[in-house]
Amino acid sequence: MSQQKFQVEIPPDFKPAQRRELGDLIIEHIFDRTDRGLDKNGKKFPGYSESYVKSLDFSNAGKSKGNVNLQLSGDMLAAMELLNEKRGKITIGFEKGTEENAKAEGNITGSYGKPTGNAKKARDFLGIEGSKLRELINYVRSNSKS
Amino acid sequence: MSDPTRSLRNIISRIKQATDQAVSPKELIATGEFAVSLIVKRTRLGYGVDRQFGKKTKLKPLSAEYKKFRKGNPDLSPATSVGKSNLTLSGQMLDSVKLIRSQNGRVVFGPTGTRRPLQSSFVGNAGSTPTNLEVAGYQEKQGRPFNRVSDLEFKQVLRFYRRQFGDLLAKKKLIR
Repeated sequence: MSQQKFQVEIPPDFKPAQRRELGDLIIEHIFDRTDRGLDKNGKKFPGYSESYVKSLDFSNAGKSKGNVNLQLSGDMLAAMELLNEKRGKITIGFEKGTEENAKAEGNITGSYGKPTGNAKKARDFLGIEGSKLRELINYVRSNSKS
Repeated sequence: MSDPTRSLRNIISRIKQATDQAVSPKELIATGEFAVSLIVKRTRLGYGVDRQFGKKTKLKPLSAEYKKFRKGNPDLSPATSVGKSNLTLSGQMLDSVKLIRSQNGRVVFGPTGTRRPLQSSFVGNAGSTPTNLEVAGYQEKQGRPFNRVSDLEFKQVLRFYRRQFGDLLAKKKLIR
C-alpha cells in the first residue's frame, strides 16, 4: 500500500501558523466537496455498486444511493490530515499503514481491496483545484494582515 | 455490572481546548446528539471502542451457539444478520441510546428505558425482561465495549462543532 498524499506549493513567505491555517482550510474544502459528491476536478463520483447499495452496512450507516460522499463510518475523511509543512510547501494525506490510508487508496485508484485499480470506478477526492487553492492562499494572507 | 452510561465532559473539554471557545448548553446538546449518532452507527457497523478516544476495533464474533439461536429467530432485527456481531438482536438497546440529562454543563448519554418482551430467549436473558441499560452492561462485561467516542469520531465531532457553531460557520462560502 502506498501512502496517499499530495503536496501543494505555497508562497515561501508564509509562516508556520499560516501554513497550518491553509492546510486546515484545504482539508475542510476537500471534505465539503467530497460531501457534495465531487472529485478533485469537480466531476461527479461514479455511482455506488448495486451490491454495496443492497448491503447491510449501507443501510445501517443510513446512506442513500444518490448521495455518493465516500462516508460510511466517516472515519476515512476524518483521518485526512496535514502531514507536513515547510517553507513553500505543505503535504496533506493519510498516515502510512493505517486502515484509512488503505480505504483512501481504494477510492483513489478504484481498487477497493483488489490488487489493481479501475479508473472507471475511481473516486479521486484527494487534491485541490488551482483556482480554489489561490482563493484560500489569498484569504490566509489577507486574514493574517488584519 | 459495569456502567455503560458516559459523560460528555471530556469530549466537551477537548472541543474547548481545540477551538478556544466556550460551549453553550444548546451547542452542548446538539454536539452530544451528533456524538451519540456516531456511536450507534459505528456499533451497528460492527465496531466497538474500548476506551474514550481510543481506536475502534471489530466487535468480538458471536459464538456458534448464539448464531444458532439467531437463525430463524422472529425477534431478529433487519439491522443485523444471523452471523453479524453488532450488538443487535431486536435492535432495542442501540435504538435507546440517547442523551439522558444535561445540567450545569454536564451531559450524560447511554442506553435508556425498558424493553418490549422478546418472543425468544437465550442464556443470560431467559425469564426476565432486562432494561436497555442492563443489556448494554451485559455486553460490556462480555467484552464488547461500545459506548465511547473513538479518536476519529472525536475528529468528526469537532468538525461538526466547528461547522455548526465555531470558526468554520463564517467560512462556509470560502471552503465550498
